[in-house]
Amino acid sequence: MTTDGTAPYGLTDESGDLVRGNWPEAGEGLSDRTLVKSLQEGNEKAFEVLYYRYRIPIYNLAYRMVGNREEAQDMTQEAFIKILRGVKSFDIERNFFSWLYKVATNVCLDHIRKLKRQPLISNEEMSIEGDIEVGNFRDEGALDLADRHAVKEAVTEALSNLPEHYRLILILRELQGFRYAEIAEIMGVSVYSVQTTLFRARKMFKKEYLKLEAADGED
Amino acid sequence: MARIEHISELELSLYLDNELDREQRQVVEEHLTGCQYCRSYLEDMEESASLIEGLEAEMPITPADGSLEEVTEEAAAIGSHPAGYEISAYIDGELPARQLREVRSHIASCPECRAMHESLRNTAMFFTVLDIHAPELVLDARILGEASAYLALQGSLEDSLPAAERQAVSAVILRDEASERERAKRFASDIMAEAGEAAIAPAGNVSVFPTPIVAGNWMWLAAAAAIIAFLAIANPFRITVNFFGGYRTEPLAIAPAVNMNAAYAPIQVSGARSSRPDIGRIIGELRKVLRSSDVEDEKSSITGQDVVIVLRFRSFAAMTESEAKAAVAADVAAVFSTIYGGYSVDSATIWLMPDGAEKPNAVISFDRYGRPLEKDWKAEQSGRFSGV
Repeated sequence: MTTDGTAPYGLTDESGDLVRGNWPEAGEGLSDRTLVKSLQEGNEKAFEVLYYRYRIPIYNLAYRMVGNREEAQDMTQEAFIKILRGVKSFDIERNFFSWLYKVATNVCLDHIRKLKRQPLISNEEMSIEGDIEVGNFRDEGALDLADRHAVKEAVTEALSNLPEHYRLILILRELQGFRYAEIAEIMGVSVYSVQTTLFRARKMFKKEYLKLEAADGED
Repeated sequence: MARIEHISELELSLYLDNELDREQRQVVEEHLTGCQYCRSYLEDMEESASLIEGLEAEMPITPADGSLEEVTEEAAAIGSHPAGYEISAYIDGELPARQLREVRSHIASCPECRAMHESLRNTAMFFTVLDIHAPELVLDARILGEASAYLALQGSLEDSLPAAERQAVSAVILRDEASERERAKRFASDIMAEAGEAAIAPAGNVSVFPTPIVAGNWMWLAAAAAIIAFLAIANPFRITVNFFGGYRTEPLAIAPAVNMNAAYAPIQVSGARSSRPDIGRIIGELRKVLRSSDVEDEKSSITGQDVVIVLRFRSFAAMTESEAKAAVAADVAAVFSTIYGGYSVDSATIWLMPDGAEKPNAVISFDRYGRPLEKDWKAEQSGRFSGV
């Protein structure tokens, strides 16, 4: 909150009340719709809230798609700037996050295609500082550190070896937790397609994983 | 050479699944007829699909008890198995209630499907081992800075310029965005590399002051880019750049010692060591971004750790105030986009000073992320000017 007690940045929630609190937490009570509307009117703070709201999932989507930190940063930047440039003509009745994800996935897919479908293998998995652990494999203590390290590398590599749309659907479902209908909207396909593609992606992923595990066992 | 548009992988997949409508299917088939690349890719996909089918066939049947014959009989008694994707969707809780009950009941009594269910569930669990990465703070600065500059320009264009001019100025700021970003990245990376190898200088903060500017009939852009406060607690160290800009037609009879910079609260830097990158290179990069063909004159000086770069631009002489305002906003945006990626901008200010005026009639200030500052700098700046 500003020192004089007024709301910062002139944002209001659905009821028209001014939003109070420190930035970017000030935007917590605001819907995407309200923020997008405000952004359409040129309020950059609305962009800032939307950015902070979605920066981590979008960056992680890009990172898992392209397998490289620097490129993932570029993809994230490109996606958000495309959103900014396109927001004026965005239909406020549509779902913002679906649009954002659609733009981000297209940015990543275009980038991958430019790389002539080279397999993307990240060697950075274990070297990134500031990782936030989000879960454990199966259960706590099921894997010791070395095993966990090996599994993480194999999962990352197996994911990287998949065709791009299999990789994408697994990221959206397994890492980002989207419902099928949401994935369908983002990918522009039917829910039935999501079901079948996801099933195939899971099978192919397992095949790749087992292949890597077997190769590792031989070493 | 014209770029060949291939069929996307997803479309090919949908084609394989017979999920395209008639018209889309026709388009794909026509393309496949003439495109060896996509035909080969489709063949690869078909091969992958058949491998997956094979894998399904190889899936272990792990009856809880009883022989394989018993399991097969049991399965036959149960009736047709749910499709693999239905079991997959069941795991995700994505089946309609009735179908869900059917699949659940089938899995409970069919060892084969139970095995598939277990296998798919385990596959999903693999992903929980992956971490979520937080992007670097410099990315926030890059994106928010670019967004702010874009919105500021958009606003200033809408406010001040007729449509045709708006378009022309937009073209300036939007030009070669991708290559500028690329160049900025290379630039920052070069600088970081060079600075890492540079001699170690004494610790301390570096502040930047505008130098006096010689009078003339030109409007000036004084781009005082000060460089260099470094935090070198550990490698890689952090570099802070203060960008400070203004233009006017009258001399700024302000001694460098006037504490203009204090108003911008430069980042206080502390640390055991600091270092300095190649100033000439930075000037070169600034010139590239700031329409180098328009640069009439340049001065740079290094006193202690203060570096001041003053560039004079020919084009502002012929501009109206609103044109110049938009153009300067474009320049600031370009500078921000150039020095991001290793640097952070502490502040930037544009002064609009018409011929003969004693005070600026407009002051636009940006913070280190290129966001317009909300504080009324105009009053403070005017106060400073009035003392000249």
